Amino acid sequence: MIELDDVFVLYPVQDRQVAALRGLSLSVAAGERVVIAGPSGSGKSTLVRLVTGLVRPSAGRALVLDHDLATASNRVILALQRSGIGVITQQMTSNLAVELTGLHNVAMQCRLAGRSRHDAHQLGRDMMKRLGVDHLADRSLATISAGEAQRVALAAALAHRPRVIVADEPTGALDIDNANIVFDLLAELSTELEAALLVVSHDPGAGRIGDRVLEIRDGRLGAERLAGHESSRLVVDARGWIRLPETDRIRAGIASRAVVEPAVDFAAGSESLTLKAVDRITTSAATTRPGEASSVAGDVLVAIAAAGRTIGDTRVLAPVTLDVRTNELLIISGRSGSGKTTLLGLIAGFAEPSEGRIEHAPSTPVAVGTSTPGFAETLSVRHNIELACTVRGRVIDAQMTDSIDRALTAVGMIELAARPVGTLSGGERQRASIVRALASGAPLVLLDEPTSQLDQSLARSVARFLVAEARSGRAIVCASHEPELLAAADRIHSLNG
Amino acid sequence: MTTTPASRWWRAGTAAASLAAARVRAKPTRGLVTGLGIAVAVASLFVTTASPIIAGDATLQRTLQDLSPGDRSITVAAPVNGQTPEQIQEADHRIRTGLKVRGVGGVRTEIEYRALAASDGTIFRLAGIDDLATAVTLRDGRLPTSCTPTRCEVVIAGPTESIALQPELGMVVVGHVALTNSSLLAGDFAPMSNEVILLGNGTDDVGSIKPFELIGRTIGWILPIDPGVIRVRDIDPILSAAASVANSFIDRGPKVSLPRTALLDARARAATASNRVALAAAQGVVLLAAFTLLAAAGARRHHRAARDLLRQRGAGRAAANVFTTCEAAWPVIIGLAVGVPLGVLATRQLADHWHFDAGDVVSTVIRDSADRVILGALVILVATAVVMATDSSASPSRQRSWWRPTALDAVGAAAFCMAALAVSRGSATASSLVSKGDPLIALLPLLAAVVVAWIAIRLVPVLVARFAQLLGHHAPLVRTALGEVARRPTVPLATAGFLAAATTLSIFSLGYRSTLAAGARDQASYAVPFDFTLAYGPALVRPSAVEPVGGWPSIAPSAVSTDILRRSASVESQKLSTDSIAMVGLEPSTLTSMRGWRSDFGPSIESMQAAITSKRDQPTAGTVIPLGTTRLTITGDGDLSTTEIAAIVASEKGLWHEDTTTLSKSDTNQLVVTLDPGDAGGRLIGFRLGQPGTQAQKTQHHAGEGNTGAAYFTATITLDSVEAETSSGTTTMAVPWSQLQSQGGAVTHDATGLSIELRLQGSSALLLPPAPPDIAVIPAIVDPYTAASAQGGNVVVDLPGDSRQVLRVAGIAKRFPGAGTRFAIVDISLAEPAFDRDQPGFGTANEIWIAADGADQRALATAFEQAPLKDLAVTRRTTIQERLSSDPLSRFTLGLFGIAAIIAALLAIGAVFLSTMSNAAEQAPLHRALAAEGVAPRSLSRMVRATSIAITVGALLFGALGSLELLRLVTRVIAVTATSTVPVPPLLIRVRAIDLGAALAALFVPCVVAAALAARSARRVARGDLLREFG
Repeated sequence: MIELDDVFVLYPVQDRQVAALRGLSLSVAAGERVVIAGPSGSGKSTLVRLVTGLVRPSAGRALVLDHDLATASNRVILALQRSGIGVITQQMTSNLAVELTGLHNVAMQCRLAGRSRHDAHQLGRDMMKRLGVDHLADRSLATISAGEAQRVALAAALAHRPRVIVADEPTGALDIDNANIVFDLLAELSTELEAALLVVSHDPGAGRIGDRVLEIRDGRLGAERLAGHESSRLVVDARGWIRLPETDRIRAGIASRAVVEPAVDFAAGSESLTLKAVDRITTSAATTRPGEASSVAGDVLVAIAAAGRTIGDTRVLAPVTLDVRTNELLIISGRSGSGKTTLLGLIAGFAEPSEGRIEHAPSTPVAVGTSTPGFAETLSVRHNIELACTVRGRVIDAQMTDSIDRALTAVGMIELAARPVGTLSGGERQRASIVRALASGAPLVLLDEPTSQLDQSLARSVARFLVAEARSGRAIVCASHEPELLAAADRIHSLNG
Repeated sequence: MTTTPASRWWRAGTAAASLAAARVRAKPTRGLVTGLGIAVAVASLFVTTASPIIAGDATLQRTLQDLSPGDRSITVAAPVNGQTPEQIQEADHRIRTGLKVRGVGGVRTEIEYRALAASDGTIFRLAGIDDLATAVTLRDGRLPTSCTPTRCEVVIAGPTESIALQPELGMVVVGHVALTNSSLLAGDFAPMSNEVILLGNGTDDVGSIKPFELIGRTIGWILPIDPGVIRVRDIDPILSAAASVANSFIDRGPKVSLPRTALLDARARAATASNRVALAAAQGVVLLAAFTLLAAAGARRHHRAARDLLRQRGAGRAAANVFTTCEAAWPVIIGLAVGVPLGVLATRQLADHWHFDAGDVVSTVIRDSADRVILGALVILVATAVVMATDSSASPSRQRSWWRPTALDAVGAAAFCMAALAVSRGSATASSLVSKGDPLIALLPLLAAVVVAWIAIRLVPVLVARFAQLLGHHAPLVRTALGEVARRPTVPLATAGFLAAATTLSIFSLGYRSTLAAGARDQASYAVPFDFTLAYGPALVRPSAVEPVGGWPSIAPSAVSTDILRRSASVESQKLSTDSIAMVGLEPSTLTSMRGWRSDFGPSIESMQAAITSKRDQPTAGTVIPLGTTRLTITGDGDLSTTEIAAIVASEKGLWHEDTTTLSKSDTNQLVVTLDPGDAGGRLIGFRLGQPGTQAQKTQHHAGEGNTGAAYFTATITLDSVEAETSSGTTTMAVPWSQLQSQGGAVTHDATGLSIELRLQGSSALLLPPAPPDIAVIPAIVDPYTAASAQGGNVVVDLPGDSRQVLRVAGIAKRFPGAGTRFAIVDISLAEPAFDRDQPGFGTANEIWIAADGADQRALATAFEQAPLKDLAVTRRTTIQERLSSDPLSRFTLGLFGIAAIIAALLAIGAVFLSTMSNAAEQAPLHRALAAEGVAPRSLSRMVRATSIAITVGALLFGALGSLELLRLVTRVIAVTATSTVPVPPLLIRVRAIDLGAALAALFVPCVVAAALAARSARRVARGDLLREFG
């Protein structure tokens, strides 16, 4: 159903090309369920766009339902999208037209594929009934819950009985119960339809429905875990590339160079390779154990007492009791939808808690770095950072400039300081946002998923930088489940209960 | 079941259309702004289609109403004699059927005999009218009841009380009537003023009176043209029908007459108005279209999201385009649904206001504009769809240097070249507008607007960036916002272009309106330089002859007047041709009372006064005639009896004239002159001596036929003394004989008098004192062409009567009110004696110009309606001005330019609002980030507002400059007044700096308010985004 072989996808950014996929190979058979994991920016979204025909491969071979995406005509691609592929994404607005009723949304793809209105509606009703949302057929989507909407979206993606199902973070906006329902339905329906299922998800719950769970890093497959197995296997691509997991690399003390020593035991009939560090790692960013109180923690800046938030009937944040202190890097962790970002919003004062209370130390300015940061797109990175400083009344003098330069250097952005932000990649914008928040001089800095689009190396650099900033007397709170940040945290507060 | 590609396409299309329909149902107000823009465009199209129709019809109505009823009729006149009754009947049938066209009333026939003399010598005409009772009002007696071949009852029409008719004529006068239908007995049938009309009832009966059998008579068919019914579009059918009827009678001599010139003139003016209105309409409609596209660009983001969903679901390009087209169609549907009724309503109001049949006008407008509305709607639909479907999201990765050429530059440069070409080709006139000669000239305002928009889009970012730099470290948020605008060619910059174009057209429309209105004032002031011009009327009364005893101030204390001596003269133009010029003598001191002097005409009034004012005292030539003198007796000798001699006398008021002498019955050596009233106290200037009139005519006749050998008239005259006779006795006048000279005869002086020998051939000799030296060469203000013919600074003009006058060019003026295109303006105190010297009386003023204050003008106007002043031809400046201003074409033209200005201004304000909203939405991520950084919501609004204000200021600046340049070009190139005639004098831009400032302020303030209102959305968006993300 899906055959990707050494696929490269390049995007033009200003005067250069950025490789989102770098020799990715993947095969998904009919009826097979494959879950793709990996940090944001690793190429997952590009993989989805490739398989759904929205981008063409720059190099390599990409076959979907036996159509070569590199050479297929637009007409063929469109036919593939209409009839062969079903797509469901995280955002309701990109799955469904809120102006249409549930049934019209579900039947739309069938109608676009040329089916009569009657047939399309019949197929739509059948699928909605199968997914238990037939009672929403005539409802306006504006009046239904997120879980219901996602099930309707699932029905819309599957009503035409596609042979390839692509789900891109299908449960990102759902609570755990609804997420499980959606995953189960995806699994059942892919089996019923004998369709290849490709699920891209951060959610650990996705793994249970996959025949294989593939980890994608830096545009390549890094590791693979088969259903029923606890451990992952490294993926060796056609050129022999292997990506060493960061934890193993650190554990082995390998900094940047290693030697391979083959050890062949012909007698035993087995082969093995030994990897030895040439230059060893001398320090570690991790200073405290996750979940334990930091020994360096200072004054309490924010005291959170059983603060929770409910919107309508939905509890978006269960009650939290927590102190935010100076001198420490506090990580709020938890699965998607657990309320990490909401907690940051409550701390920042963007929203009020529905229950409990949050008390701030007097005169505690807050700086916030969002997961999708906004900038003055035509201004350079430096000017954007200076703007943030200026609006807080900080004078841009030589000392300030030097401070900004050091921060940019720490996160690997100094060479991009003069570049307009609009030309940056997602990860670069994320790092610029971190520096901007920290350069503001605010004692309390809140960062939402600051490393979600960074590879492990950069994420570690950022983590070190955040720790160093925390040590300068500030309180830095990050909402994240990235291992690099978790490893560097002075304290971790989990919202998973 | 298999499906064909066509059915698949259809089903996909309907699915896409149903999504669009659902989106419209969910939020029908989404396309409201765009739809309202289209609605205004559609309504404007109706109004601008109706305007020239109504204006043309109103002009035609006014033109016809100005004609006498007789002149606004179609009259077919045919001599009855020589025609058989059958031929007459056939003619009647043809006329009644052939001229049955709209605007022409029912046929009424009349018959009129040639003039006859009654027994008492009274000249009368016998006429017969069908249905006489409906055409007359009985003054006394009764109406005729019978008319047989031998006895016919008639009534007398007019003031004549009685007439002594020969009994054998069989005419019986039974009463007196007054004609109430003035289209009858008019035109070819109009009697002479000394003729009495006898009216009988019935054309056939009156035409069959036996005693008049051999008298020549004419039968007429009168078809009145009804100004209230006729429309411009009826003119061609009427002319065609009249021509057809005339052609059908070509062998039998009936003559068809109608007000052809008036009809054609009205039609031409209506056509000019139509094209001019089209000019205003085009700019309005194009501006509205641009606004619609701007609004569509603002709605693009939302539309693209839904379109992308469709594409994700596998919709092909065709289905996606169906979706886009359906979404784009909604504003068009709103526009048509609102615009058509609005247009019909506005058209009805307009028609009602001008007292035209609203239903008729509306149906005509719908018929004329339906295709344009449909075509325009389709164009807007396609353009909106293209704009909505285009993904032009500005990406910094696609940023280019601002000087890099783009497609916009190509459009702007092309518009510039076309505008330059239009200007270089020359000017458009009223006639060329009728013929739609040069479309480029008509498109000039639009082309200029495009050029201004181009320049604004190119330069506003530069100016805004410069301004942002000037802010330095102050206002960092505003600086950042301005910087974003300066670097991103998105909706705000498109708005800058639109705003600049709208400002250009708005201020241009206002300025042009003001210029045209001032043009009407200039035209009136050019025709009547002061407030009144008095000239000879039909009664040939000289204006100064009826001047009140106490002068004009006795009627109007503030009156300032000048006698005007206007004479035709000719001047040689570089020996190649002779051109006619107007010699105008006036009192230079009164020039300051001229109402319409413009600096572009020539030098200042003060310098003209200084240049031509004479320093001479009152004329001293001649011998004073004692007061009370009634008669002069001239003693002489020689051929007094065979020579015609006249005394040249200047009256007490200084008017030269000739008093004929007669030979004394008692003494053949004495000539007697009976003086005219007013001569006593005047001066005896000299004498004219010539051959008797009959001889002179014969001699001139021979000379005219080339017989130069005709005999000369010779005579020798001796003049010795002149005695003045008064009631108290006789006084000998001390005539300075020794000073009298003549160029027509040989003069010999002796101790007591003089002797002159004449040798004349059809002419006469003047015996006059020598000319004062200061009138030999008179300083004059002349037109440039006349000045060009000067030699040594002097121009020699030929006056009637073989006399010449040398003018010194003291100043050059391109134009002079009341003087025509070729002129020489001189001091009347020099012109009078100069003209009189060669032709006594020729130097008498023949016109008066009077200026007075407002109330005094009314007093004068009242006086001019009463005797004896009513015999003068009086032209009042304000009357001309009011007539020009009240001209339907003028009112429509000015009104439309006013409406165009308002629409452009409203669109500009709307564009600022939309642009600010769009900018706030586009900058939302930045605002969200800044809000997260703690920036106050008010500061975010200020950022957006500052951007819009900066754009507005820049665009207004370019728009104002563009409008002034456009005004200059259009005023120069399109030489047409508000009444669609050639402007005399040429139009002059009339936009005062204060008015311009007020107009800009009137645009700027609402734009700022709109920007402030729209900028508030930045607060809501930022707060909402943060809540969504973190809430």
